[in-house]
Order: sequence, then structure tokens, then C-alpha cells
Amino acid sequence: MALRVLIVDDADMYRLILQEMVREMGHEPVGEAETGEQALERFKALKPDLVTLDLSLPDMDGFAVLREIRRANPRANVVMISGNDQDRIVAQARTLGALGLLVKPVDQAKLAALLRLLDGGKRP
Amino acid sequence: MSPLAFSDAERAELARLTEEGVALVSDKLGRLSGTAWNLVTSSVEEVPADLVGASLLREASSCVGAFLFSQSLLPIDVLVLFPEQCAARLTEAVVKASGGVLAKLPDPQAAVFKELSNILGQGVLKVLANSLKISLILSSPRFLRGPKAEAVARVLAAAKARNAFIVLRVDMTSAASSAECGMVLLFDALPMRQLLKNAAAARP
Repeated sequence: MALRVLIVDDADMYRLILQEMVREMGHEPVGEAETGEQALERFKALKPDLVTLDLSLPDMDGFAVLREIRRANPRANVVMISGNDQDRIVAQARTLGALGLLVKPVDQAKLAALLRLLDGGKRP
Repeated sequence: MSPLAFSDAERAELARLTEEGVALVSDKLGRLSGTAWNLVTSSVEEVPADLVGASLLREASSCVGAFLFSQSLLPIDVLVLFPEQCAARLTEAVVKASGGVLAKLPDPQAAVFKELSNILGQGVLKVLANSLKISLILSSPRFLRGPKAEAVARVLAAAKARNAFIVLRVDMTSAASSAECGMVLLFDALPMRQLLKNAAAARP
């Protein structure tokens, strides 16, 4: 089954790269957002199976968006995507309920493994 | 000329941490550009504000790069610049590694140098943050292109509250390309000295 993925990143480069990766893996990039506010609107409207969420957004940080998404749907699947993999940032992502944090530039094999797990009905 | 803010021991510790951070980013640059990179931090020095421009990429007058900042516990600004003559070559390498996907962007060069700057800045801040037991969230990179003096002046003006300036020179080489990169970390010396002291005291 193709998973519907919402891509949230303020960098057009990563929105483009992630869309291509998701499509190549046989899933559907169902929408994109470049701000936290857009992300929350599109999450509620599109009800995606997975959100890829950048940590640095122009209007709020990705953790604030993650909190709001998990408040709207405690079962939402969100993976943080960031160039920032400091120990405390990775730990905070997990504490707030993210499936994990993929480091930019995104390793396609790691994203594929995550999508395979979700496609099989599992949470990593 | 403004006085320097750190003792020799503090300066040595900051140099060690920043060099360690730069050494970490080869793998990420390799994923971005499709080639293996070797990175050497050839100098790390604390300089007064009025010498930042002169210390950074001495041979280059025109640059591309980005500015990033963090407003967390330790407010910090990061300026990363590359000489403009390496811009086309590096952009071509990264676009090629993306299978041409990035050629669809309106300004591939801006996207590439924002990301190169982000990777380098994040690498240095990761080691610094982990060592100081804090987290630092950097802003999205703001692209800079044009005369070096203008870029430096704009960043110094935006970071008026900072009184410590660490300038790094990084030599990057790969099979496909080579480039020199200059980075400046701007922060307030007082909280940094306190955090360095706390981190040293917490070590076994």
C-alpha cells in the first residue's frame, strides 16, 4: 500500500529531494509545507500516514510543530529531518514522540527502511 | 582594536572542539556531492571584530555562502563563506550527484551553498553543544553572494551584542573538486566561558 507523506521543510531543495525519494520508493508525496503554520493546516486537512518534519522553520521550531501534531493526533507518525543531530536534540525528538531523527543530507536507505516498517503496520 | 576574550587554555579548548566538529562533516558532504571529501582545519583563531574581514579568506574578494544564527541558551551566529570562483564547480558536483533533480530549482547555487554552509555550521555546533551539555538550534541558512567585505559587515552589524569572534579556515578536497572555506563563529564570551568552565568541572 502506498503511504501518503507530507513533507515539511523551508528549503525548496529538501522538499524536492524528499518528494523524489518518496515517489521512487512507491509512496505518495501528498503535500508539502514550508512553515510550521502551513504544516499544521495541511496535516489536519490531508491526514497523511507520515510527516517528514524539518527542525528549523521560519515561524516556529519543528519541536513546536511536532507537539501540535501529536496533540491533534497522538498516533501521528512524524520523523524529524535535520542537519542538527546534537545528543539533546535527538533525545528531545524521541521524548516528544517522533519516530526518530534522520540527518541531512538524508540517507535514502534509512528513509526507505522507515517507510517499509510503517507500510508493514509497525512503528520503529 | 577590541581586546580578545579568552585565556590561552580556553582558546585551545575552543580550537579543539571546532576542529573536531569540522572533522565530522566529511561523510555528510560526501552524501551531498557524491564524492568522498577530506577536510582539514588549517587554522582556528580568535580575532578582534575589526580584523574578521581581513582574517577570512584572505585571497578572495567575492564570495558565496550563508549566515545562520541561534537564539538559544548560548546565542551564536555563524558565517560560512567560499571564494566565488569555486561556486560553479561545487554546484555542478552537487547537482550531478542529485541525478539532476536540483537543476529544477530556480537558483541551484543558492540551494547548494546554503546546504554546504548548514552542514559545516551544524558539524561545529554539534561538538560544541554536546561538549557543553546544551542544545543549539540554528536558523535556516540565509544565502549570501557578493563582495566579502559586505557579507562580513552585514553579519557583524546583525550580531552587535557579540564580543568574541572565532575564525576558522577549512581546506576541503575531493577527487572531483577542492575548495577553501572560511567560517566565523560570533558569540558572547561571558556565557561561553561559563559553559566551558561547567563542562570542565563536570568531567571525571
